[in-house]
Amino acid sequence: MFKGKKVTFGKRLLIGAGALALVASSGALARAGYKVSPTSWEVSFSGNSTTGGFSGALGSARASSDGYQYIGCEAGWFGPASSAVTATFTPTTYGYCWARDRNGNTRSCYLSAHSNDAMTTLSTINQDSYIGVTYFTTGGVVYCNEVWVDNYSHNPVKAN
Amino acid sequence: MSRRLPSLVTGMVLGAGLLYGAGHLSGRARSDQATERASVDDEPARAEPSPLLAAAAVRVAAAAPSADFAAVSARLERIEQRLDGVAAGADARRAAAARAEEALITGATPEDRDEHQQGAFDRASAIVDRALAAGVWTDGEQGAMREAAAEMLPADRFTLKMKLSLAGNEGKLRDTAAAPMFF
Repeated sequence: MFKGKKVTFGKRLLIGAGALALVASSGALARAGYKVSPTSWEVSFSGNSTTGGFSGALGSARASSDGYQYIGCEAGWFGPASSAVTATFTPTTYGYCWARDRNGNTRSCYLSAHSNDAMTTLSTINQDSYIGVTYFTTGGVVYCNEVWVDNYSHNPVKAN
Repeated sequence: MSRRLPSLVTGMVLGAGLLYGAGHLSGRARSDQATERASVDDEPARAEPSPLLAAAAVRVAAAAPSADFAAVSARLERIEQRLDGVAAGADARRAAAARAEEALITGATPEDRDEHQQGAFDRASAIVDRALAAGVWTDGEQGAMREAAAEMLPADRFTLKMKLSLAGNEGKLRDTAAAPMFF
């Protein structure tokens, strides 16, 4: 009788521990968070040559298997080229956003020198960012119209 | 049940005591804050209980609004001047950016280039024209362009970059180079 009771208690203990482990593990799974798969946000284009856009995640472009894709933006500054013009030269900030899709097609635009605020936006781009850019063309120049940067936890992470 | 009753009563009494204590402290804090505010607000008026000095205080208090008004007015004027300065600075920066962009978009002329810059621009232009004619951008062009770009004026780089950008956006140029089209 005593022995029987002891076994029952042990079994209960085991079942309880198992149930606890199950709950704990299912809880851990539920807490894993939302993730976008590495190649879900490859480079894509929209619109036409006059107005359009391009977007994609840096991580997805890098993880793509085609060997072509890339997407990103660059910021630059140029100042006087010699001491003779330091007093008159106007330093300029500028930028470009550029993308190439899986077929080797490219889309790009220029970030106007007026867009000093845009430089702040460009500086938020990191290795795991998703970026989207729209553009329009006028007078032989392709201007970036909008640049947005998403830095979310679910973004595809850039791997080596 | 009868054994639980005393502990229930004790709990209720303790709870009520805690609530009262918290309310008292909170009320006191509010009262202190109000006193502080009042002491700040009322300082000139409560300065003197004596009738003579009270009259003086009234005179000062009567004069105070105009004095305050003058001070506030002067302060506003200074703020306005500063804002004007900031606006003028912003206007100047915008104008400078517009001039710089115009120079970039208009492009450089042969007079703007020295011998090396002219040579680099000629070489780079030939590379770009050849690529546009073929409809393809290759590793060879990318490498040659990088070399030439190092000696080119920013406005010349911009001109050629825009040619490639337009052709790419129009779907007339396929980029097969391993390295991105940056130069």
